[in-house]
Amino acid sequence: MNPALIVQIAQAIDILIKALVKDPKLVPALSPIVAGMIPALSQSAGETPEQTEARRTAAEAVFAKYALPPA
Amino acid sequence: MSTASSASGRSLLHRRGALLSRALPAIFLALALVGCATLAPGEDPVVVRTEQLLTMATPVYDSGMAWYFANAERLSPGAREVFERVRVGFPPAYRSLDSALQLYKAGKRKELMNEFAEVQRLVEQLLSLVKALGGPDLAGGAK
Repeated sequence: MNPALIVQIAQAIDILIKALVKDPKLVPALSPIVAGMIPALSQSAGETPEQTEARRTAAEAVFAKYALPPA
Repeated sequence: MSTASSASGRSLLHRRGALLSRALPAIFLALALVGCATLAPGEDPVVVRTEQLLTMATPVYDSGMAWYFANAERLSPGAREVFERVRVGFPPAYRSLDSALQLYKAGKRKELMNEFAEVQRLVEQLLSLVKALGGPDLAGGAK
């Protein structure tokens, strides 16, 4: 699955959780939204070559940030 | 580095840590949902799950290391030693799993169990360590 999509789903879940914590009565109203997210999640597929390359580039950038121990 | 820029950098790290402490539980929930999802037709579960682990492991490493770097001065030598093992060990473990995945895709490997388990172990160790030392509670509430 596209990493950007996972982040977007995570953000949506974060908003839903906050809304539910503030007002548990919203559960019935929000359940259709959650149900709507399931089909998107159900299409787990492998990376495209471009996504693999982007993932590696991002990982190497992170590794470079912590190449040396903290001062 | 000047005092002002140092303070600015620390402030940025703290803000980022606070943001991550709020966002990571949701990211893990999304990952759990993705992990439970059925695969698209024709997809190899080993490939998809491994790619998902590789995708999510890097932000965890990034956030865990950012917290470590921001708090290194107050950590005990023992804790620093464990963080250092993760800091040094994660990149080669990640690359090793990534390479093994390419071999698997090419039909030159039958499984990726050892490499997969090592990346997973390092991620879990980092999560546990940060939480145990008073960092973001990745299982729920923010600190």
